[in-house]
Amino acid sequence: MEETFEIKDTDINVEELMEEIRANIEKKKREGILSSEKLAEAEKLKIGDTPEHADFTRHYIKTAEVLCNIDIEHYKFGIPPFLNRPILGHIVLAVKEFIRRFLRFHTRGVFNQQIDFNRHIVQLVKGLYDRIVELEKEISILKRKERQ
Amino acid sequence: MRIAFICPRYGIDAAGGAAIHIEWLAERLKEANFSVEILTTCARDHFGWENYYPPGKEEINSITVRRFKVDERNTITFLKIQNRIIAKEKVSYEDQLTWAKESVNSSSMYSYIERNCGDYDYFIFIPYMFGTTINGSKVCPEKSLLIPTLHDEVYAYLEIFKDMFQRFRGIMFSTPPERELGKKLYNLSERKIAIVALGFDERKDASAERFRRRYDIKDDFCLYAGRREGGKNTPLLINYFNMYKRYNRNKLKLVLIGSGDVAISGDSQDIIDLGYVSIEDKYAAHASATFLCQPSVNESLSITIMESWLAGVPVLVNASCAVTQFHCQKSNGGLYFDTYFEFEECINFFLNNPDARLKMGINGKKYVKENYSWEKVIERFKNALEKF
Repeated sequence: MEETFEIKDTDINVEELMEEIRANIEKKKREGILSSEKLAEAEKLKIGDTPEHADFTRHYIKTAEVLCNIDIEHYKFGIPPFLNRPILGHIVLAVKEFIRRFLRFHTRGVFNQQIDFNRHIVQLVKGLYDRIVELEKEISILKRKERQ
Repeated sequence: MRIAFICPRYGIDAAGGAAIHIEWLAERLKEANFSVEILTTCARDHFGWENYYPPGKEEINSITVRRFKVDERNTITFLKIQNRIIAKEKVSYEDQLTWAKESVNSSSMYSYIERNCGDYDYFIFIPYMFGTTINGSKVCPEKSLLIPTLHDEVYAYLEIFKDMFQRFRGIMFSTPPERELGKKLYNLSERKIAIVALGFDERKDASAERFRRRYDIKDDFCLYAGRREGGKNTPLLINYFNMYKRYNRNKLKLVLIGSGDVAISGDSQDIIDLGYVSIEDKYAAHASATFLCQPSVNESLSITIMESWLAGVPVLVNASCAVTQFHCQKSNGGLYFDTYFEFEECINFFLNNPDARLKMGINGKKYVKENYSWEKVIERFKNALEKF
């Protein structure tokens, strides 16, 4: 398909139809046929603004799940480029490592408590999110049944 | 001619757009006397890329599939960088490389390609944005081709992809808008690009009456067929449809078929969620729909609108998707919406003009047959190989 085979139709021209549709909408707006309530509602539903990106919520929950399981004991800190110098860099890194090990003795308990708390919070958020999805489904089914 | 397709996951229960693409194409190429194999990983899903299938060789629908173990990944690093990419923050080239390294990769697969580079004529990678493509294509670039299935999304703008697209010997796009996006982003020369796409067969056994009887649907309906998820804009369609029903007193229904969880909000009793249906029912649903709505903006071809047109049914697509809008304009087989009001007007046009609707369906069908028959796809594939 170096170039697409187009379907010519003397009765239907989609681009002209869309122009007519758009002109019709503008006319309705000008003449006040569209209520302010409807205009405001449509404004809220603009493409790209929909908040129900369920897969994004799941993605962030999964991210939080991974991040809260961080192994603080063996965490590797990034080395800034200026510490790549042959002698001074090694000395600074050794001092930093010593301070970290010294502090770890005092901070381990606090960190572990925080990690434990994070894990519980993430599990709670995940459970609540799953429950919301379940309840939304149930509500939707019940409403349909009620109307039928 | 011996060809290997390379994708991050493949299998009967490991469906995804890329897997469907190569499954269909590989089977047809085999019928056209190509020797085709698939190189993939042991992963089944794209969330954790955990090894699920055993490594080794197996046959799926008479195609040889070689599976290789996924390398260990640092998921924390991957997700941290991925979140920055999604948030459109500036991500350094080094971090982009790290993101690709911590994506799905398989060293054993790359070793296999290296050892057997001389035994294959081409390695065709699909899709563009995973580690298997980014790093796998470095092994034997002179024989590597790409089917990118490229969308206008944040990942496509990463610098690592500029280098990667340049590395390939040839790139097979699916549509002219996808090709234009590729040219714009990666400065590709005409010599190394072609359009191939996929082919579609008409299903003459699809019974609209049987589908309506089976699911007790009597009224006009808008069909949504495919995965239900935010990335496909399913929530937008549901929101728009709910609003449409509040302002338009008619019996139009929205019928959803496909897998995935999307909460059906609102109190409309006019949304019928059939979930996952059989292939037969899917084609029958297409045949009995009044029109199909494809709200997604992330399409490089859109299988579902081709299936709708083959059933003689017009489509309504998102004007923000260059590919599906292009199809509608070239076929005169569908309308496109940019706002809620356009969505509403387009639906009412379909409902109030049954003759025009029918003609648009016929136009769409002609368009698919002229551009996406398997005969033409295989011919384009052969021409592309000659060109590269």
